[in-house]
Amino acid sequence: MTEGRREPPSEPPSEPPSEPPSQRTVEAERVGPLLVERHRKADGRALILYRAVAEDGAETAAGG
Amino acid sequence: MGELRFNELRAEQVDYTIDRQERTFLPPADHCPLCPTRPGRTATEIPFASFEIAVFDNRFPAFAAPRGAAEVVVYTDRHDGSFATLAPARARALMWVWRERYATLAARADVEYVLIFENRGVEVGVTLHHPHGQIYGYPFLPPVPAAEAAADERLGGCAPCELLRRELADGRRVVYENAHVAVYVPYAARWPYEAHVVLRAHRASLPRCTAAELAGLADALQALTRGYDALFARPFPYVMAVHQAPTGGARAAPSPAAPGATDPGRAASDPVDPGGGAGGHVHVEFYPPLRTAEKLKYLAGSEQGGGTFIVDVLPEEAARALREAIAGAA
Repeated sequence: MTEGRREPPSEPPSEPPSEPPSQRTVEAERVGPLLVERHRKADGRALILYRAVAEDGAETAAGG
Repeated sequence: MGELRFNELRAEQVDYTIDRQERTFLPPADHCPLCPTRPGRTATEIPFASFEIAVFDNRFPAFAAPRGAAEVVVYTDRHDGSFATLAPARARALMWVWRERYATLAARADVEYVLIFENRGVEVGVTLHHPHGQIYGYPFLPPVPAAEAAADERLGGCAPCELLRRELADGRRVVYENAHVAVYVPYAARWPYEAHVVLRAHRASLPRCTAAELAGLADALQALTRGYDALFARPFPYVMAVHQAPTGGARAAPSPAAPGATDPGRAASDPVDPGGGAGGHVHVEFYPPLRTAEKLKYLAGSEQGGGTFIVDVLPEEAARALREAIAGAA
């Protein structure tokens, strides 16, 4: 039920990106304990990255 | 783009999205589109060398603006593992991501219901193994939340509140509790090891939860999923669905900051009051297809033709086994 952008496995894996991976960071903000960065992918789709931050705003290691 | 057709005999919408036939299907790990992008390699969905949690518009959406939304939520940049094996801090952070996405999608005029879910395991149709979930913003109210609203009506108030009260009073099907959340196999479970993870307090949606409640929810979800994996000593497939209030009623005053559509990354601080409409109580339902370690429960004649589930395991027995598995996995 999911989705992917990558080419099929038969595609050469070492080919470098042919387009900028991310056009720009739209905005960055705090949401609760997270720092949120909003990007646009090269094809126009939204990409949002979330990072845990401490009370003082420092990034924390939330583990994987 | 997809096409909605109304099925008169079932009184339900059917979504035809034929482009999804082309979506990536079980690629090898070194071609995973949800991994971070490695130097010198073709960009994945996340064109960064590392990340914590990422959300992006589904490349093969079942719903898309101006008729809904479909997003992918990647829990970690590590390819292996599962929700159960996330560090507790990451699982708690994920609750905030869900909260933010619900609030943002609730603000959109073309989204009537936000469903956060995860399909785990090829048994339930997973096409990528990297730990991730999805979010659909439906442009209509789907049948399941509509049935929950009908249950509210039938029980004369919040149905999940009443059912939680009954389960805690009975106790036989409760498998885990913390200060903010209880987990039980429901009295009339449709799947052998179905479980519901329910906020004790009446909260219509995640934006209405306190930080402590979100943490309690994450802890309960991890306790259950770790218990699932311990139950048969194997990765336990499931469908996980986060149930919250419909969002159509939350937009009494549509905001110009919520244009709908073209920007699913809008801020969560939108001035709507998501989840403040009628109905809804935050709970997470798990539908695992296994009935034994090797045997699947199929939706067959009675389930599909008659709409009646035939179940091989009594909920009380399933709860006993699951309770022991959760305790053993703690």
